[in-house]
Amino acid sequence: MESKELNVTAELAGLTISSEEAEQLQTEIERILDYFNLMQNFDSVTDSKPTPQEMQTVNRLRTDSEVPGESGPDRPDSLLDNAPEREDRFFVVPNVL
Amino acid sequence: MSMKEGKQTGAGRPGYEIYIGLEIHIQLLTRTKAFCSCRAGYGDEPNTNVCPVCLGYPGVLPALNEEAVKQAYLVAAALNCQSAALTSFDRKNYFYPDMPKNYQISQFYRPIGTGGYIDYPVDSGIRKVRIHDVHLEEDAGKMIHAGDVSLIDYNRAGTPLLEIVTEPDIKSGEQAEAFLRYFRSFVRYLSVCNGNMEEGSLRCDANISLNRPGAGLGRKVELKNMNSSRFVRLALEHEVERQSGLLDAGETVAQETRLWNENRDATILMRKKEAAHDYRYFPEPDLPAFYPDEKFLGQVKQQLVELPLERRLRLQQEYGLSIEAAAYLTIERETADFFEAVLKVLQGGAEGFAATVYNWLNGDVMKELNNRNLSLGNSPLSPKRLADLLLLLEEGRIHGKIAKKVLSLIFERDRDPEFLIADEGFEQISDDNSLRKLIEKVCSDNPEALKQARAGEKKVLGYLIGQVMKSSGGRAEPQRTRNLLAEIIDADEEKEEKAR
Amino acid sequence: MSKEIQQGTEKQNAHVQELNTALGAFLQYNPELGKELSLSLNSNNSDNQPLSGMTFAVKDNIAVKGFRLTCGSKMLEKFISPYSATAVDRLVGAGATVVGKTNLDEFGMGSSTDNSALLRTNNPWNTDYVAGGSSGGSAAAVAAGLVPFALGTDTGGSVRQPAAFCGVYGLKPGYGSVSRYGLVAYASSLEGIGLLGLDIGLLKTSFETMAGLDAKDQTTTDMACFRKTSTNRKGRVALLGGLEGLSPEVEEEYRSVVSHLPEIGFTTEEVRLPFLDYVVPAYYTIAAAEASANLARYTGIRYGLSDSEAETPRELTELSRNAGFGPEVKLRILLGTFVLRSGFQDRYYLQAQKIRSALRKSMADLFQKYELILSPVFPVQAFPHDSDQLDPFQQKLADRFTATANLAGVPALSFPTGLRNGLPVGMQFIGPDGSEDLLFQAAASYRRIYEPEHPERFIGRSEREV
Ligand SMILES: [Mg+2]
Ligand SMILES: [Zn+2]
Repeated sequence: MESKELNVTAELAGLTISSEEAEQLQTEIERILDYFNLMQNFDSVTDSKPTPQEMQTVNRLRTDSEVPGESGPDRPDSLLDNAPEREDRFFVVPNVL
Repeated sequence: MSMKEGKQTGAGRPGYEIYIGLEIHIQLLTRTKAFCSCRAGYGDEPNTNVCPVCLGYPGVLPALNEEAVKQAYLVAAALNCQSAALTSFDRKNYFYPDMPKNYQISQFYRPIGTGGYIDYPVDSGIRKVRIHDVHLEEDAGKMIHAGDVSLIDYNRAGTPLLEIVTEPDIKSGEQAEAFLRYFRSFVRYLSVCNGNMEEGSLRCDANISLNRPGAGLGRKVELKNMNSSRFVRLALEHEVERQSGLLDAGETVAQETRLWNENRDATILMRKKEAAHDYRYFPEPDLPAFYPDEKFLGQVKQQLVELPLERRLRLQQEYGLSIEAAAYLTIERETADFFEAVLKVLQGGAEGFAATVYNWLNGDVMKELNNRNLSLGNSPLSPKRLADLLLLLEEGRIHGKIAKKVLSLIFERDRDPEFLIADEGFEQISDDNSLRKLIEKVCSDNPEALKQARAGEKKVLGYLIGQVMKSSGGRAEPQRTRNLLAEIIDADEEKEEKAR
Repeated sequence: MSKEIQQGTEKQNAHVQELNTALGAFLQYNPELGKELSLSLNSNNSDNQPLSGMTFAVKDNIAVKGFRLTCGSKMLEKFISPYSATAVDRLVGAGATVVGKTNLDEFGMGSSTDNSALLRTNNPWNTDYVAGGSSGGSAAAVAAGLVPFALGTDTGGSVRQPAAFCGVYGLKPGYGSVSRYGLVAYASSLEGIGLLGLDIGLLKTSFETMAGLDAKDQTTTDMACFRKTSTNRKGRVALLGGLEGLSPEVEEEYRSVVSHLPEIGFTTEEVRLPFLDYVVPAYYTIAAAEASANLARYTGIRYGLSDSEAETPRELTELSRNAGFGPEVKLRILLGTFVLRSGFQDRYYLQAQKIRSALRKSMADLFQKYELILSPVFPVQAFPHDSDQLDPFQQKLADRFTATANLAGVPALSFPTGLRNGLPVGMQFIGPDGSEDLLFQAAASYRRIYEPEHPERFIGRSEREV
């Protein structure tokens, strides 16, 4: 993996990589990707490629009704209390613009 | 820019083929959010309709809302799509503060509907737009930018959105506007969305490309931030100008995203297409696939209604209505339902009444509703009451002016017209004895006028009729009154002549 | 097990604290808080519920209301959970009491618990050695008798491997058997909440309490659909071939276990599971991919570590994540992001999914003929802290026996089979969908050959099985 690819990947991943980290990470990632490349030897006879979503064949849906106490004015304050930065009932981030 | 100017703009670039596709997001009308049981409501205090699930807390899981799936299948069916026998969700990955998990649960690989179309009216004709796909996803929160900081409210996060992606079959801003107006009506008929673009419950992004005829699609530009169908038209028309200008000058159009700026009446660059723009879609492992069974599809089918355009065409044919009348009556399902319910009460004479009912609905009824900020659905005017009122008019028991008064009273007092007429003594006076008494009184009160009338002054006759109407509280039957008054004047002349 | 022992007096709690100082099993030990939770949940506070008087520990990537939920990460070091996992709620509802939260590799990523950013956990059999991971804290707490049972999570072996390292039983239920609601996601399609303990009866009761449909986890399955027994496979055990790379101790132990199986009524046959070589790369590809999305929610906005100097949301995200995540977590996020990128997804992520479905199919075929599969849990025994015996990469390769069950979604149970050089060794039975009960039975039968015990130095307040 080229260092450019590593930076693009890091950007997508919401991380930044310092130049000290970069070299070691690149070696480590290349080693693992090399190993992952083993999978190219696998050649399936079946062309079915079900996702894990199909392991279950019974429909599971939720009824469209509110569950008292799960949200609403009573519940969320404890959730807001975890916010690192808060203004009244809002979560706060530095301005996007 | 006026409509006329818009048309000229669209027609002013004959050298290019225009391809416009729309991506429409509608907020579904469910009680709860797509993946948790928080209320899907708007206008509540910030961050009250939130729970660990829609705030993306560690360890929580989504639980799919049945009603949202049902509405999505309904729209897919109404758009003539192929409904998925197996549908599933995917994660769309990108970081943004209004999105709690930093991935959106959406559908990419197996959307609920694919390959449909919709007919819509434009310029008294009908056009077709093909639908690429219909997919269900979750909305993000709202951000308010306030100086150094942005404030986030996650009440909207996780509410169900249905995205409808069209093929690039639209050819002008004007068509796009007509399409959106019709689409609003369409989703309201299906009761899946309130269709309000200003409030964002119906949102539309557009993509547009221009090319020489026969050269296929050009380089696509995406347009965002248009919160009315008019702005969609204006933004597209601006793009046609801009892009054709570039192409005329031998330049190329950059593939980019632009924002409509209503203050500048122009689109402005938001971002260039970047390589790092990669959503990394993959199957959402927390939600099993959904296989609609016969029962489910049956329930969906039951909710399919006659769509606005079909209904407009039927009303034209069945009742002999003009396009304008039928179009007006079918914008809202409520109006069309009301209209047909009135005619049903009137039964036999329905066809003759159709235009009258339309005139009333489009005129005085609408005025009353607007004045009182009501809609047909929640007003005291029932189809039966309007029908009764029209019958009273037809039978001559009241005349037009009184009918309007009764209509107001129905809204004011929430009573039947029959009751109101009796209560107010509104019934028309049309028996000769009563009318004669009224006229004689007026004549003896106005000897001078009577004299002039007898002298043949036509104007004075009108004055006397007016006095009779006034003294009867408007209830004297006008034609009968005129006839009787004329009789009396003539009779008196005869009497006088005889006396001479 | 007598109730006085289980409920814990202050003196006993102090004793546990003391032992924990040497072990580092608990990140948070607070039986009082657990009692409060029990009181708030247990409207019917009778003594004859299935788990009355029982205490248990919970791996710190499983939510317990009012307790911290650190995931062994600086990112969530101070985070207090406002809700409880369904599995925890059900256990508490059945009379059990949470006493604390146990240490783990950060977000479950690791095989030693040395990847915890917050605490080091030692193996009760030899405190210079790792307890295994990522459920190392739970395994150490159970082995040392600090609690009769504990919850762990198993993504690629994270319950079974530390169970083997510490000489206790470790159940990884089938996918969908136990609700994942409240389990902090690392690799959603592979992981589940599991159990560690020394009393099989207690594990069975706990499992049955936790298992079953949960409206909050739509991937849970109705266990009843699996309840069909077939007699023609009875007692037939498939031995997984491909055992190269085992340490001499583990290999000897394995041969010994195989030789003892006929004594408890099993017949054995060597089989070759196709695609076994692809298990680890496929497993890590999928795990990393899912992790890259699952861990995207930690940005310092709604909770958790947050960088207060950031000047843009993007900076807030990056700085908070850079500071909050350890190196192994970052590595897996980067890997997972990469294998999902357009242009690479087909080669890695999609190929891994194909391998996974082929493996699941071939496992299902195997279970047409055999009742159970037997394999080692891990190629080596517990290793010393900071040893270079297995570097992080080799630790990943060593997951091949355990990760097979996660890829296929089937249940597996690791059971202690003996001590070698003073350290425990464990093997695992893997069964078809819905076979958890069968796994308990098989492990119980093996007790006739080997009866596991607590290490002498650490005997907490929990007794051996009655
Ligand atoms: Mg969308
Ligand atoms: Zn919610």
